[in-house]
Amino acid sequence: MSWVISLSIGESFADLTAQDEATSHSLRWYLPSQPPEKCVQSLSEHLGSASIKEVRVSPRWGAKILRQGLGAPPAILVTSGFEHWLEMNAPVSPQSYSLHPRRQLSMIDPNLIFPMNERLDADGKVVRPVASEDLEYMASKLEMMERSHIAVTYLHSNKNPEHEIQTGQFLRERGFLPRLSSQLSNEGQERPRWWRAILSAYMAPVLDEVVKDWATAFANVLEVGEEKILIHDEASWRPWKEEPCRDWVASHFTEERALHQKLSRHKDQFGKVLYFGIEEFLLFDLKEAQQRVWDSPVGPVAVNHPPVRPLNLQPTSMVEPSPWGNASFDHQIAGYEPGPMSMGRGVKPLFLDLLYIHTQQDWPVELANRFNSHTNSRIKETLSAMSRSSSGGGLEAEEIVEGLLRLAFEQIINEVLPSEKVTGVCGPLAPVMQSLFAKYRQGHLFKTAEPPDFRISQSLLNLDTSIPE
Amino acid sequence: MSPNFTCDQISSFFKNQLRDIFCGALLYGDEALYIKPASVIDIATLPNAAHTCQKYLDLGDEDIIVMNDPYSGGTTVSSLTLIMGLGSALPNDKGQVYLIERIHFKPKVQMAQSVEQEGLKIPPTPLVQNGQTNQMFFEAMTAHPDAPDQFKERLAQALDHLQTQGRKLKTAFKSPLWSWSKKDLKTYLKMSYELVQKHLQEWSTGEKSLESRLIDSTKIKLRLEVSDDTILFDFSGTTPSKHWNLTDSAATGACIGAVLTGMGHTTAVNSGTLKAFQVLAPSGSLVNAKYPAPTYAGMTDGAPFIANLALQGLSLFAPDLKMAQSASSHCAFNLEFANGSHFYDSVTPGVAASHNHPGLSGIDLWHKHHREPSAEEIERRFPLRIKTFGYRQNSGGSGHLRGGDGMLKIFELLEPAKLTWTAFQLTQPPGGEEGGKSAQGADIYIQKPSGEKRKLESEGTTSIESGELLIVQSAGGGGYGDMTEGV
Repeated sequence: MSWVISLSIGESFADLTAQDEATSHSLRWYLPSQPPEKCVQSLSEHLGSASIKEVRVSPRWGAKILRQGLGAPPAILVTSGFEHWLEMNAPVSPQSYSLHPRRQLSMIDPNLIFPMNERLDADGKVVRPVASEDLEYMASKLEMMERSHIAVTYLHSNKNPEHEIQTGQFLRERGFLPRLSSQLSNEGQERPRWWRAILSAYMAPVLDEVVKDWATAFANVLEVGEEKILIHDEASWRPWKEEPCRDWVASHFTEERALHQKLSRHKDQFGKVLYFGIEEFLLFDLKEAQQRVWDSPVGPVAVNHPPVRPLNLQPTSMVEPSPWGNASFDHQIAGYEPGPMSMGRGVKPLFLDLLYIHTQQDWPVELANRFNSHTNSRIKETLSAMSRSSSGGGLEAEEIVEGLLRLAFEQIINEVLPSEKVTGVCGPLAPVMQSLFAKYRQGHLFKTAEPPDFRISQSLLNLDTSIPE
Repeated sequence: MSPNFTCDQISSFFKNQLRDIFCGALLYGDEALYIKPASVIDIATLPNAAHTCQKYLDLGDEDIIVMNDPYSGGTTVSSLTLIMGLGSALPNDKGQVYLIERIHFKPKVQMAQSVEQEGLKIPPTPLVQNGQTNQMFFEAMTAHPDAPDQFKERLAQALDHLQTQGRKLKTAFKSPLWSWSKKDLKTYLKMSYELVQKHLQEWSTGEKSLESRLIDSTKIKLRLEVSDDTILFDFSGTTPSKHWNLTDSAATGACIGAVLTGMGHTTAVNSGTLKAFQVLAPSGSLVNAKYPAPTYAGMTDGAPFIANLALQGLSLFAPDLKMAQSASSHCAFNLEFANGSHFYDSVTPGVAASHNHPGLSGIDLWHKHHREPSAEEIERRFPLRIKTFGYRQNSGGSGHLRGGDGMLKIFELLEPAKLTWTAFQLTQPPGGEEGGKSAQGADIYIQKPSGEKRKLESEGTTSIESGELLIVQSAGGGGYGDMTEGV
């Protein structure tokens, strides 16, 4: 007996599937993702002494790292004269009507940007070569600063990568971990190409650590060798240890690729499918082509990915006072740390709390066990207090809950309509959301695209693989 | 359903339906239901454009009118406004609905004496009628020698885009998703007005005046009257200007934009919001120019100046809004090459510091933030080598809180070109406040290969040779407070 395991590591939950290679029989778990050893121990109790052929890992942390600024700004080597170029073009929030807008900038540290006196022209011809004394000087500074993750981002490197390659080689020989923009993307515009290298380097310290923890857990508990821990890049599953300068931006879209591949078989039936995950709501457009550029929190990033985007409303979207004197959903996403009030954790109501008030049926068992129905009154009191504090408010809790649920429904349907009359729905929270839709449906049809117990980790098994479904 | 939630839902509906429109508006009869401006001048010019078209032309279901005439509700001749009729799109209602989209072409800086010299001026003209594109007009317009670059392709794309958005919106209105009545819309507009009133009540009331002068002695006089439910901006006494000309609707938008920014307004703008404002602009003055005065400089650099002035006036009623001075000039310029191509660019100034925030560098408070074009693409398309695209270090005024830096762009010419620029400013660089220091003003230089530098006037035309450097530096923002404070 030999198992292939796929593992989707969310911020708070790990979604695992183990499939017997010979029989295709599969087992599934949805467990807290910390600590990894405990999670792997649960697997081992079911897998017994059978061997593990490979473990496909998809750390679903990229969104959280970018949202909360959890990564480590890398050193950036950039063509001289363009040290501020990325910062100048960072997204500004709010876009309008603010005296003090801010640039969204946590991924770069101006003190870690090093201008390099090299230059290529628009045809890739050398105007000024890379000077070895510049490289030596910069390397000694980086050693002093103890920075190992470096993004090398030169103008016109897509036309002529030699300067980046030369720089990268020098850095590797000195023990650094360089990511070359020209190696990761051939995008003809510098900023999306540079951001690919920078974000990969930015996310690396956290994601390397996350995968390492799980690799260690698999090694300790199930004696799985490092070479069997696989990560997906844009094209295939590869051993994690093989590539020290992993392209984490490409890996960020592993689950979207897997889900899109799986859902594409429905494209004659649905133009769009909504995925309602425990940590994320996504909208898949099955009729659109692959996208070349990702509209990320830092702006456009060059990476091929399927036509999928997060919904504006997320399971842990926060409820905040609205300028209209009621409550509404904020852009902020709370995550599960601390988490929903209905799990006895957070102190601010989230969309998940409202869903739980709406229905206690049809929740995936892994979440259902965590809810505490005694919190309902506390949630309602919090909502009432919110309404009382905004002028023109003073609504009753029941009215607020009803209003918010309807607002949620309309926000979702506004993102889907009006191009489709029928939308596919899948994911662990799909049954709960279906019951919300049934209440407000108003003529639009939401049909189940995949069975209610469908898991992302299953689709990871089928991504670029010979493993049958 | 409480009216509060109804307003949220209606607002959310419009926001979602218009999410693929960068700059535009939705009107129902005379009422602007949703205005999505790219800059403050769009706030009032977008509805004005629609009203002008409604007044003089019939706009049937899916008919489209095109225009760019600043004196009919446009802004500059490089910004094209398309207005599409959606018929009686609301269910069980005869009121006409209109969707507007404004698209922006690359402008051409000219030393123009009239708006006609600034480019191809298009009065409101039917482009699509009864389902048919007016092909003869389309071809004539796009073939005109003064038409902007890539006009034909982009106009065709814009038409297609607007038609798609308009039809999507009509379907959405007819779907169960739209379940509100005319009464709900009235409540939405009324509550939008009440939101502005609520903010106004936080400010003191009364009347204050202020005055400013431009480098060419143009006088701008502003009297503000703030009450619990309205604000009046009275520009009586303002003189005409040779350099900056705004239409009255653009000046109105600048004033409204300043108020909404001062309030930190977070909901969309509509007719209800606009009800709280009145602007009196004497005919022929800088803030109510008459045809055929050229408008490019006024709409690009003059409007931020008016908005900054309005904000300065508002700080007399709301001290929290007090800031040092921000610059308004974007140092716009073009380079025209022998092969007929022309490169346009501008350099955003820094924002002034306030009593509790340092200024931001290279940000325009009065325009939606846009990304700069790709440096690699510029070098591919034009005979230029970019030496620097960065901040102009330490150009913001010092103080307890520092003003934001301007930006610096240095280009090496690889072929000769004709340079035209406008960096018209006030007599002094942006000043500090409460002991804060002035910022550095905008400068434009040409530097020869020998290193010899020539500073250019505030606007003009000159030739620039291959191998020379063009150095464009925008102004910083003034500093706030004495540097020794808190030491």
